[in-house]
Amino acid sequence: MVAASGVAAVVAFVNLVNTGNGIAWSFGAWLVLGSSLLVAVGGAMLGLHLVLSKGLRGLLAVLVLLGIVGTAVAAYFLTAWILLVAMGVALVGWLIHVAADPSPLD
Amino acid sequence: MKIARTAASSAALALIFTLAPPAFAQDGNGGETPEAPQYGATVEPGAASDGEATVTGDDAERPDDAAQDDAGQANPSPSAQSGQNAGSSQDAAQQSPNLTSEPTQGGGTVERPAGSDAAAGEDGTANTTEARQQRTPDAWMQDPNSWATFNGDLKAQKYSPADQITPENVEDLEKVWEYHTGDVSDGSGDIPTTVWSATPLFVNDTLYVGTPFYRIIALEPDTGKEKWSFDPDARLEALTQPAMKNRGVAYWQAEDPQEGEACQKIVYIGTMDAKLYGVDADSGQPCENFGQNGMVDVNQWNTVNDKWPLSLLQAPTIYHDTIFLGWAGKDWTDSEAPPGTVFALDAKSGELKWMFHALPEDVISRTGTANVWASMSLDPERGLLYIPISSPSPNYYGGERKEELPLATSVTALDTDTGEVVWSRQLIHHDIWDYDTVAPPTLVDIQKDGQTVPALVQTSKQGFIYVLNRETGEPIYPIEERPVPASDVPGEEAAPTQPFVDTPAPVVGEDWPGISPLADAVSFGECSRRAEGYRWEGRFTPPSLQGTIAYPPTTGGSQWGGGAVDPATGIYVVNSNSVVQIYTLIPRDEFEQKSQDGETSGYYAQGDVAYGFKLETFLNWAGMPCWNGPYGTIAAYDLKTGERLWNEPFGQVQKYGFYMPESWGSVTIGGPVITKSGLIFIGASMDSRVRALDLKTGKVLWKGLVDAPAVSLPAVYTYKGRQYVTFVVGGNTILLPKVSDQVVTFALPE
Repeated sequence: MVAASGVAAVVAFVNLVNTGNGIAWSFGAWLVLGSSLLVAVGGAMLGLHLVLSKGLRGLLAVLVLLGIVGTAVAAYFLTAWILLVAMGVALVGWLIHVAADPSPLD
Repeated sequence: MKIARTAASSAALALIFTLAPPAFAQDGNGGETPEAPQYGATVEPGAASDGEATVTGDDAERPDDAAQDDAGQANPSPSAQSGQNAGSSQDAAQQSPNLTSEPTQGGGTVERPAGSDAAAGEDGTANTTEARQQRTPDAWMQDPNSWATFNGDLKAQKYSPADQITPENVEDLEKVWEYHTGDVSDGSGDIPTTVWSATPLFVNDTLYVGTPFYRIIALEPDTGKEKWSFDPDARLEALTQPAMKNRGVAYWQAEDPQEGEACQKIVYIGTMDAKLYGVDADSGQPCENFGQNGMVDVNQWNTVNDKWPLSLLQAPTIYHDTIFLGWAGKDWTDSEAPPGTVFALDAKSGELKWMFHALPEDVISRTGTANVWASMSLDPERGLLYIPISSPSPNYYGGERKEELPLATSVTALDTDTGEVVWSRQLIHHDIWDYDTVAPPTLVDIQKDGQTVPALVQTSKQGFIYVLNRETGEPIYPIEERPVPASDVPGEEAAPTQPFVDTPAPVVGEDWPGISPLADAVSFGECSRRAEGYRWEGRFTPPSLQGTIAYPPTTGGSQWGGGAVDPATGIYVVNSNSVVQIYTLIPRDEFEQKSQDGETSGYYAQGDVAYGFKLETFLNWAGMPCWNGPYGTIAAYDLKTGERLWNEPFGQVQKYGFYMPESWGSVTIGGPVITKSGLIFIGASMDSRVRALDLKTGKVLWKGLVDAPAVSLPAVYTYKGRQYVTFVVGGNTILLPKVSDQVVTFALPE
């Protein structure tokens, strides 16, 4: 999840600065860069168990899921297909994380 | 996902339509503009251009030996030329020969220099089909490899016989070069924003492009390398339009060009302040025999209601040795305005041959315009010029111009030699909707009922497609006068009937598209509540005091891009818009109060008539369109039967970088081009993409990303055996807040 969202952030950055791709420097490109970074940070916090409180871990897991889905939807409308795939991988990672460690959602 | 996409689409469309209403009208003749200085006889013609005309490029650096010899002295320096222009234009106006005026059909008049031999025969036979001699087209214009006019050819077919790029290989198309003119403004500085809709011309082995700063640039067609450029140092002010606009250049060459002699081939460009420049097509040097050192000030003939300059934004039409020239102005600010005039000038000297006026003299103190601001077409065999005439001013209230004005909002055929009306067909009676006839009629011979019929196809803002016999103006498919709603505004008298066309099917539906459930829900029923308060009794419901639903409104329907035809099959293609606007007349005293309160956006003074006007697009509080999509389509018709073959949403809305569903379509500006191989090339959409469509199905076969919306007609040409497709990518802030100066050319890999 962290790796996928990290890759997504890199892709989003390239989309942001690569003029001529139709979305460079647009609000949407900035948005997915920000959301990708937030998903990466949130995923890292979950994976490293930095959030000790059970309630906070659950909230963070839900927020990360929303971030993944939201970024994927935005990527779809931006026709940023690599970003969309990266978010798909991140979603798989999120599912594995929750399956392996269901405590956040208990 | 579908729901999310729909919601996102509506949200993204919101801002677009918020911006659209004034701007759309502006692309024609309407819309809010900055106040321009009074421009009339008190201003010296020619004095506006106080800069220096300059030429750059390899050829431009060479002295013009031939001209030097002929003149007996060296050409004046550019600065000297410019300095002379100011005075000499005025002199030209003062020294203009006396004009004789004679009436022609429909209340129009034709003026000619006294002693001109262009007048019709005394028995009036010059206006009959039999009396006109069969003409021959200019040979240079018949080259199938060229794209010699704004519309590809004089008939406005927008058709190329090139067949190297096919539906099977079009997906391999690649960008072979791009060029940036540097003439672009987003309006943030001193220069108004640019709206660049030029069609590049390919002729004389050169690609010629006009810019919104009114420069001419000559490029190598296969590499995009600049050959030369000409800069008239034009006045870059929004004198009649809200933006710096240009729709390209025109080209002429002598029947038998003399090698080494200058100005045997000339490229022309017009400016916002009514200057027409002619430069040598090989060197870019001004043609000293054209007007005054290469410039004709058309405003010297702007002597009636001269409130602003006759802006020369549309590339003129050229046939044999004559330039046919219309103009653009403002028909929303004044009740009286310059009357619609088409000029015929000598292509070599710039001298006036004739002027055609579309309005009778006895009404010009109360109205004006009825001008030709769009492209014209011409039948080179018949010697007939077909002009799309716009609506009279003011746009939305006709209480002060109740007379029949038969030539207003019409398609009219003029004799190219005399300027006299051969036939005219009014498309809107007593136009109070700003339904300017905006596109050049397409001329094509169609096979119908076993006969070859010389046809003319006229698209329109009102959404009808008129198919007429171009020799007589008689309809090939029926046009029926039907009763329409009366006006309920004191002082106004709407026409009791309007011409309707059922075949070919109109580009927009009979009824307006209805309330968008999503926009209505988001606005808690605002859309439906407002709709109930507006007047809507079908097409041609007059503007009213409570607000009238206008569909299609001034945006069209179809716009100035018009349609394209495959002359071999009679398949006709046209793109169109589906927009709902609200027309509200406001009593003068109330309007004045609103003006004092600072409400200006969307409000139009209409001079001193009894009502001002408010134009708004039908949006909810969030800016979402209150009506159902799609917002833009492209359709194909079989002209032999009038049947619509297909009708597909076209383009994609893009906002904040997000692309909306293809099923929503896009509002479009620009038009299509057809190739022999069965492809349609078109930019026009707001998503900054250019496309190739299958002529048989309308399906998109190829898309290319460009720097901004390509609001122009592409040029298709063949050079050294290779087929090229060139788009001018200028953008238009109506569609997207992106402007560009890109010229981009695509071809198959070598």
